[in-house]
Amino acid sequence: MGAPSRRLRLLATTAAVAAVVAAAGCGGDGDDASGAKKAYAIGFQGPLSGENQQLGINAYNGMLTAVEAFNRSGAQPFTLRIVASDDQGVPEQGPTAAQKLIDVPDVIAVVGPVFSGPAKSSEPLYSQAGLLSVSPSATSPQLTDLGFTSFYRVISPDTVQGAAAADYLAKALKANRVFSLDDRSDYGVGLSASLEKALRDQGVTVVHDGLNPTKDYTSEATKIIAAGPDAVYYSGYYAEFALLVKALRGKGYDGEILAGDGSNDDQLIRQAGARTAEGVLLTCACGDANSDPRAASFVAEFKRVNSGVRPGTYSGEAYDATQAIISVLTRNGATATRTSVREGLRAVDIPGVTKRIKFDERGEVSDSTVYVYEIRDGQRVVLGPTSTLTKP
Amino acid sequence: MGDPVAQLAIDGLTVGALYAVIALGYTLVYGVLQLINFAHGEVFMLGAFGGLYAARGVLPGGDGAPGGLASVGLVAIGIAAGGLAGAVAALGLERAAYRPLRRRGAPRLAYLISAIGASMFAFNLAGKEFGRQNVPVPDLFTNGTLLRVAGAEISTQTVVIAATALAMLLAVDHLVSATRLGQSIRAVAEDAECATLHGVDVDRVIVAAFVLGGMLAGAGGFLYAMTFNASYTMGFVPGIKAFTAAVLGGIGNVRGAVLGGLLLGLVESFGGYLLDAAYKDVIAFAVLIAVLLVRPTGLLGARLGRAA
Amino acid sequence: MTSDRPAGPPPEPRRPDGHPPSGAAATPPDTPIPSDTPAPPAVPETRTPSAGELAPTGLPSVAERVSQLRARAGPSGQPGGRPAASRGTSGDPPTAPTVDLRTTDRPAPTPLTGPPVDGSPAPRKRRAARVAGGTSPRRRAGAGEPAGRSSSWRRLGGCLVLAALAGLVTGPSGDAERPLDGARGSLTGERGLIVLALALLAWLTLTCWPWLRASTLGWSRRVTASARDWRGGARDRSGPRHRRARRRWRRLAAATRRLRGGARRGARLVLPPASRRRRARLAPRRPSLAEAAERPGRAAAESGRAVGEVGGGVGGRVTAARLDEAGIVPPRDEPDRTVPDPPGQERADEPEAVLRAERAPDPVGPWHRTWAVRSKWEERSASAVPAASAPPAVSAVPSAARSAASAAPPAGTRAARAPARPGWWSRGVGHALALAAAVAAPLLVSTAAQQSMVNDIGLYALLALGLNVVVGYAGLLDLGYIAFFAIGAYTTAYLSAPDSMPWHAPFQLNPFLAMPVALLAAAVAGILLGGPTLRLRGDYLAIVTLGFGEIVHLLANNADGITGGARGVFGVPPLSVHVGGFHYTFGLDPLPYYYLLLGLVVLVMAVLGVWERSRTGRAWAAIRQDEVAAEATGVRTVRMKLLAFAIGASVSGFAGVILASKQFFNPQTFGLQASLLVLTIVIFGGMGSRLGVVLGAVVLQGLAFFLRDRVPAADRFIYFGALVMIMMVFRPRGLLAPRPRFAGAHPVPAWAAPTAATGVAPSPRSAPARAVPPAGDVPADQREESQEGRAP
Repeated sequence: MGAPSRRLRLLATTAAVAAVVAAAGCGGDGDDASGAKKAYAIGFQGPLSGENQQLGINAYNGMLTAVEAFNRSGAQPFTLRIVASDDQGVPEQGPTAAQKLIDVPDVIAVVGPVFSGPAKSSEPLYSQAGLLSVSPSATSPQLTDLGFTSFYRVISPDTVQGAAAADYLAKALKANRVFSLDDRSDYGVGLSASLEKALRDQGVTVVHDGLNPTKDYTSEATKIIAAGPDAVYYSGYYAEFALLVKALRGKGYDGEILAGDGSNDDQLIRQAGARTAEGVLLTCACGDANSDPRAASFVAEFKRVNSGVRPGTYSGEAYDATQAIISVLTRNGATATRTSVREGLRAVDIPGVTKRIKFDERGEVSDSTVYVYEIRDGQRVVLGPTSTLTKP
Repeated sequence: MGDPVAQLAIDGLTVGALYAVIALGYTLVYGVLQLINFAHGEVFMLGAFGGLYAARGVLPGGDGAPGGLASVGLVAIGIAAGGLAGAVAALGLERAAYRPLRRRGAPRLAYLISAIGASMFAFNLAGKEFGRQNVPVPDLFTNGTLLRVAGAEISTQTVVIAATALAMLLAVDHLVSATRLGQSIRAVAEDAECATLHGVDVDRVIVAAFVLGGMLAGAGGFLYAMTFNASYTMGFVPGIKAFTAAVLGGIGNVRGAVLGGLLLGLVESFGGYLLDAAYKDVIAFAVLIAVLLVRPTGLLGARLGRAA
Repeated sequence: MTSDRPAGPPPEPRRPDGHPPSGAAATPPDTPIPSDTPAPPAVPETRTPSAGELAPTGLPSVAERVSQLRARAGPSGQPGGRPAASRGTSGDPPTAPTVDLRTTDRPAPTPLTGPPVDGSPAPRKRRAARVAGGTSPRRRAGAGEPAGRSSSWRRLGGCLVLAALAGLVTGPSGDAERPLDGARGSLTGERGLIVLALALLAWLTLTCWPWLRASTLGWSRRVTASARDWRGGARDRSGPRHRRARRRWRRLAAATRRLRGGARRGARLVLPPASRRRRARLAPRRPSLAEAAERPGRAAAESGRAVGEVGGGVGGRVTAARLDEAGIVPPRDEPDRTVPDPPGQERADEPEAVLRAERAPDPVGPWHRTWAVRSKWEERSASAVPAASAPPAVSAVPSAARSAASAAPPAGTRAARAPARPGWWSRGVGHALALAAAVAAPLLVSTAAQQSMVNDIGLYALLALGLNVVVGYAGLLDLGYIAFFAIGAYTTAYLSAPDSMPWHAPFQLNPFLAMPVALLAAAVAGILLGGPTLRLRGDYLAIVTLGFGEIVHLLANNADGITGGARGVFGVPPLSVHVGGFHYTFGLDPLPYYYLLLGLVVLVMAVLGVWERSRTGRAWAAIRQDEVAAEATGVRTVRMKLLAFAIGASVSGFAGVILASKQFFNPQTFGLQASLLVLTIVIFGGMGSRLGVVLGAVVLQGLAFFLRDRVPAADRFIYFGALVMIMMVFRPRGLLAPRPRFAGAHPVPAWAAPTAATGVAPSPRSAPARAVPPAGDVPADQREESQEGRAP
């Protein structure tokens, strides 16, 4: 057919592509301000896609619960909406995601970033723009030391978690030799550093290794088994931890396997397989709202808003962060600006579903309890706070 | 726990067998088309998902792994489905990304870029359809230690992977060296014009090379997913490694791909243990570069025709 | 001449285009199929290549020829241009090399385009109707495609698959827990019906395209012809009205002629360059060896020229008019076997005809006879291609020359025109416009867009310019290019930030001052990479560079003590200028970075342009085309290749400095996928063309950004990949293919040469498709490709 059909094909393809793009674009999201009330937007930055997206989705759902409840109550002269920005959990996407939120003039505060790495790279922009960011889960200890004026978090830093985990390992599990593996991310390095320091203070032998997230943990498992530890503690996220657990158990390792709050998610059980994940222990500075009787109403509300899905890790924390912002907005009424919200957060003091929300001058919360979870029969079960578990 | 040399060797050979299986796809396509099929990793990934969903379809229970013969059957189903999915993916790739370029006599670099574009398209579409998290294969068998050899623990999984990969490699070797199709492939790899003079349908041979490579990669993908969970980006790193293995052994050479794969697996395993585990990839590439500097055509030379 | 040849395919040279049946042979020999055998009517529709059929050696096979003929006969809406198998054995011979003075039993003024379809005289109108619009679409479609039926099914399958893919891409996403939810949502129910409808629509359009085109084309031709009729009054010119009109036209024509001549003479005096250019453009270009080899010879061409001189524009107009009157639409690529009017009748009716006659007999310089003669009228005839008008000066001409002419234009015309580029000033205008657009663009978009413009477009444009040197100029396939970017960035961090990386220099430099050091470090790295690869050929070079890139990436990722590992580098002080009393520090605002990058891009483009035109650039071109030959002719390949690596690497290092001082970065930025992205940008934009690669960066990265809010963010790379694939299929040269700078040469290295020259032979089905495009339709770059396949 030669040239005519070739040109036609080119034309047809271009037209098709353009039509497809236009059609795809036509289904864009439309946000509409409701009625005559002023509409504020709260931003969300977290991993909504990517390997460890579940944690971001959990946080987003928690935030959504708070916003929906607030809008439904209608007591205030303003309504809220969420503007979500996906940073995929990786630090190099942080600035772009942050800029996207900064550029929306309606956004007066941000819940996030969820992970520590993107937090570190986004906070300079937030600080420069004067936009408040309250993170539900960024636990890297250095985040509050870098001088960001816009960073607050409603979860204890990893120094607390590391110390509590060391306590548990030494006293409850009575481990003499611990292999500490981290994933070389901001979060992992911070957690493993504080863990190892606390373990050494307790007199436990520690072997350290760092391995970038990968799929093949076979040789690492060999190395770990060759070191003969009583327990393995992994500081990283659940996707890689599942593979590590599979590799270790596949090679017949039968010591204890533990991990930090980044691995604390039901996805771990799914990805490692219930049988393989049996007996894995997890530490987290977050409580489990599902088993906390005081958070029952939150759980019910969460399920209602999110079509029956149970709250996951960081859902409660995100809910609390949103509530903190809402309390500031309530105080300011309909005249809130980014500056006023940022300055007003210092004075927040509310009872949250996970802990009492009260910030110190560095942006940390004062309350901190670390819980231990165990995977039993394919479910994550809270064993209790470390303080209780390590009592002799 | 004693000297882990045997353990490392077994692990290395197992992973190496997987790399070899994927590397065969690269080698076959390169042999007939002189084209580096950068999208082969996505064929691997799509095969993995195909096998995964087939396994899930047959065993929806999720947790109860049947034992014995049922397990074998399930694994066989998974591998077959993976191979089929890989073959279909490779076929689609050839028709969509390469054949139009061949028809138009495009410069060779266009094939490379088209492959890159196809790879991007395929894995992002898979991510869209299958979700962007790791997807586990349901337990098809109870994975425990099967044997103990010289201090190495050989698990059921290792045996399954090694046996399947070995069977596939032997089958392909036989096919390429002793069947008519293999003869055609070798003929086209040697000289396509002369092959047509002898009555070989070049188009069909090219399709056959793609399909064969795709079947292997798909089956390998299922095996890989059984161990390491499937995800939409799973094709990238094993693809590069398998490609390295193919070049190490001599690209275009079937036996070279096998040798390269096994060698690469061993190097990775030992290197990862001796040095920082993170450096094992560095070692693999360093070995590759060293070999190419000394012997630019790879260990066994570059001619598919010489495979038999 | 061959008027008594039975129905059989005519000899090679009168094929209207320049392409031999298989893309590889430059010299289709004059080997007609034995003239005694009629063309086999029952050629199977679906053919698979079998032994001996594929003819990369240049000998077309029977089936191939038949399909070519069918193809030629097919889509242009006219019936038997060639006596092809579709007509079986008709009594009347084809006519190729002669003017077909044959008509039916009608008197002379009723020309026909060819022997009647069924060999018997038929009323003009009926035959015309049948001929022009009557042949069934299937016949025509079938004539155009030897394998009509099964390829139609295949087309349907392809349309369905493509529509399904498009549906999947634009539909909802799936989830690991509920696999294929997205597919279910995209392809079932309403959406499924839409997808199916689109597929069927596309398939119908593609299948019926020849018929649609023919009918619209025929219609448009008729319309134009009748318009011309009205204007020129060609219908009946015997009346007094027409006599008066004729007289008026004659006077007008004479006046116009005088005016034009005067203007031309005046123009020649006043604007020498313009007319020189025009003369250069219109003068027969010295054709390349390949083109010359396919000319039948001097004699035929010269005789063609002679006749052309004599006949001038006389026959052409009239025949066109006559044909249109008859409702017959002559094919573009057919010689007009029409009777020239008795001289004197319509001589001066049409001013254009007169002027054409006047222009035709310009003498051809003697030096051109050495190669082959291609007179101006041939050129213009082929170039004035709008299908409706018969080539103006084509008329009673020995068909050998006509075929020579028609063989020449497709291959020669475009190529002949190619060197006659618009003047340097127009290129400058284009560049200036681009620059103005680039300067104004960020002011019109949001800050997030500016951020993206800097990060994605600006930096990658700089990277692409550097890779262009390695891949486009020197022809070295580098898959690990991003490593130099990393080296530049980390060097900057080392030199200017004491606390952002564990390893740092004992002093601290402003990043501007760190630039030369980073450039140097990257250049050294380039030489280190290039050194060992000197004796590796194409694909192995690619592997080694890939390995090197990955090694740098992995080292950066894992050497925690040196580079900070995966956590990246944070806190490099931003660029700042403290000169005299002028202090300025770049902050977080992307706009100053954008303008800085713009300036750098322009600077780098200028510098690289100078380099490209220098001796070094020519050396690179030589290495690119044939390294062995270059070495043999004295080009220092080792030095030049290392230089190419070094320069490419240093440009990349440049970009690394900007990245480091602007924002946080970590080893993830420097992975293999980034390398492949830069390579894609370079090839997509046009390998070897500086503006092209910058444009490629703009288009590709801009697309990714543009789609960010319109489609789910993670899906935009699906569109990206699809766009890249489509581009490679339809325009493998890239957006702005580089201008061929050297005679007969095109900047493509041997290993990137089109695959027609390599062992993979196309099937005969594709050969006619490529070989038959009527003149003027095949875009120049395609033609250049096939030329290149034939080039030594």
